[in-house]
Amino acid sequence: MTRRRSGFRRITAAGLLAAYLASAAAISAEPAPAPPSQEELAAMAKQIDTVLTRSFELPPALQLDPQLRMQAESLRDAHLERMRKLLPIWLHDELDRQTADKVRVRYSVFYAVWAQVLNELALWQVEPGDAAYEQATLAVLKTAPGACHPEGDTRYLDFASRVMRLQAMAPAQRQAALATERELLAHWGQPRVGLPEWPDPLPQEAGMAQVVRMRAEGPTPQMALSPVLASDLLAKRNDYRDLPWETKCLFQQWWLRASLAQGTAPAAALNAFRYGTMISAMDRLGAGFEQERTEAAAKAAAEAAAKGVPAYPRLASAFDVEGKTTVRRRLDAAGKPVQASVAKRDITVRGIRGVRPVAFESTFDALSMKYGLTAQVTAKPAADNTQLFQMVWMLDPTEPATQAVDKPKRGAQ
Amino acid sequence: MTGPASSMQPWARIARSVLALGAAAMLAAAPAQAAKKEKSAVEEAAMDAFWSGDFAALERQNDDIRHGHSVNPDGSSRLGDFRDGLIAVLDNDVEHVDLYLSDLDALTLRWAQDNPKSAFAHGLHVHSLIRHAWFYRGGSYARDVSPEAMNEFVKQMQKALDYFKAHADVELTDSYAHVQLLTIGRALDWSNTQMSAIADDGLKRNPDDTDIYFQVAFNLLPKWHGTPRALDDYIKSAAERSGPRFGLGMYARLYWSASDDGFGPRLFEDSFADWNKMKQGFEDLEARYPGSAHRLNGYAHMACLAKDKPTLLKLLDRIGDAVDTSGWGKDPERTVELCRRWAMQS
Repeated sequence: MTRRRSGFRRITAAGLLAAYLASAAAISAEPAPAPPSQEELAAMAKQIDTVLTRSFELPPALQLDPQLRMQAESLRDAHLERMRKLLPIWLHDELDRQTADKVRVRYSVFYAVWAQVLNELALWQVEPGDAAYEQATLAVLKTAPGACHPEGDTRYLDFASRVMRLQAMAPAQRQAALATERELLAHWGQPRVGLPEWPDPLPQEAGMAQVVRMRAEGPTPQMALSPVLASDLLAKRNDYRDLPWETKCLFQQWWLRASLAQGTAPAAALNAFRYGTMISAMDRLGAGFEQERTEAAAKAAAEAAAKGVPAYPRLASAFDVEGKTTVRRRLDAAGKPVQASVAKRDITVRGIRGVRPVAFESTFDALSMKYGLTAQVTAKPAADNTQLFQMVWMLDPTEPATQAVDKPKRGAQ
Repeated sequence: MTGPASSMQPWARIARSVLALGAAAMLAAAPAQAAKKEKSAVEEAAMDAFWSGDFAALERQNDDIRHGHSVNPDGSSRLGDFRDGLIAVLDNDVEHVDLYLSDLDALTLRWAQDNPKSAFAHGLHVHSLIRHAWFYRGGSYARDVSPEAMNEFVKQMQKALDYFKAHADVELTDSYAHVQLLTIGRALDWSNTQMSAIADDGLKRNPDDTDIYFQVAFNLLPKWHGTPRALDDYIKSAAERSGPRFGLGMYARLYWSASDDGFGPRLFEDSFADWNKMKQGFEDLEARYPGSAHRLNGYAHMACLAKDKPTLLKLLDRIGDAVDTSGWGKDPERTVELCRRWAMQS
């Protein structure tokens, strides 16, 4: 990660950054970025802490038992206090590494540590607990739609969603589950052993395939959707990705139940639900970054799009996200792509070491699938009319970053 | 999840805006007593729980109302509010509504299968089947319905009845079943004697389930299976039966509903409605359950139809600018204006 990028990138996309850059205006002098001062590092820590705290809010409107609220707030406060001590250490450590690696990109220390925090949030969402915790969580998700109705901004529902699930558990299970929550929070900053892989296909892909069958054949009691899902997906024929977060969550919950009924192992169903509802870095910040695309970047993106090359996501540029996605697509009899999904993700992010960059692994999913559905077929598909090919996502030394795409190749990888 | 509008969940706000589109879909299929200006918290909660597929919450709400206060402080029915929430979901007016309703049939069947001892679960499934039947028929007069559509309607209603019969022992423990059965009976042309027997049984089960009165009265409208005389006989008997709780209130409400659902502005010409009794009924309700703007506006509307200018003037004065058009029939703005103008004429 020693590439030299263009000197100054406008990165006012997210609210967090807007606030940070306002305070950092004095240090934005061109051309050579100086290493951040102690004061600036402290300001960075404060900004990251502010946004992290949002992910731990428990809105007063959440209907929680007073005792559970008190215990959850106590758990949260202890964790945030620990993080407030860790963040300056992470920033200093990152600065040392980047200095050693001769990385001289403005704000890269800030982005690297922010990426770590976003990744810890994501790891926390997909990491399983002990057996009793898993069993209790599964029982709640199978029976309690309330788990999908938290209050507040859906980009910051991390803690609230978990506590709502605790609320739906039997009081006897809650104490044990709270202990597990404490243990899972203690994993922040640690390597995760045996973290489950992404489900393949994604639950939304498998579930939507079922919905498409239901559109043609009609619903059955076992697979029946809740009215909100039936209205959106059967009647209006909306696509999963266009649903609001709450409805997506209800969809994931429906698919968890449906897949269990179809014989999926409980651990696999729960893992699919977790990945399906995970708030990724793109979910949190992607739209904000895209809104801030500069005129020059927008022009270059349009030029790239004209050549059939997806524009590099702004968020990926900012966080230095690179890697490969393996796309699997299905062709119809005429050789036209009719379905595409991401079969594998190999992603790196500056600052994230020793753990999978889960929060960023899906950064290129939407673009990969879109490309998979539109790119020309140049290689012969496999016997089952599917095709695998890899897309390589690399940041270019000049703005705007673009990506290189290898030729579709026959799918045996 | 069951809080007031200010604490409504985001998805529920979406639900509300979506479901509002379907509000007028079944005007011809159900008594108009459900028409209200604002949704109550009970109605919102029922709609939210059904919309998101939370059967446990629905069952809890139904039980709470059945075993708690069935009547709102303004005299209206909490059970009615709860069922209006269910109807809002069943009446969702979307494309491919047949598929939507098929899903609701399947979903409610699964709930009933998962909860075989729940009268409400079976009742909700029957409700869904009935709603689906009405989709095939549409809301037109019978003479305007094609034979194919009518056949499908009858077939679906029969399906609802068959399901009901198979689970009657459980279902009849909740008067929700009687409301469904009255709806089926109306569609399948059951005799008024049969309908009265169902209503009697339902009211024995739950004397506070005033939906039953409205269902029977609706069936006795001339456009269905009744006559003005039969309707009058029934309304008088319903008023007597409910007198201890509502005085003559049920007399007023049922004739007000008969105006909205059938007689329109000719209530006093074409039916045996007695204005003095209606007036006494509205006064009884106001004395026992004060504070309903909807009812006050309905009272004024009926006073206008009855040509009782002094009462109308008094009521218009009380209403002031706070007109609740839900109480003024099918063409409310025009009716309010005409009644006001008439009242001001010397």
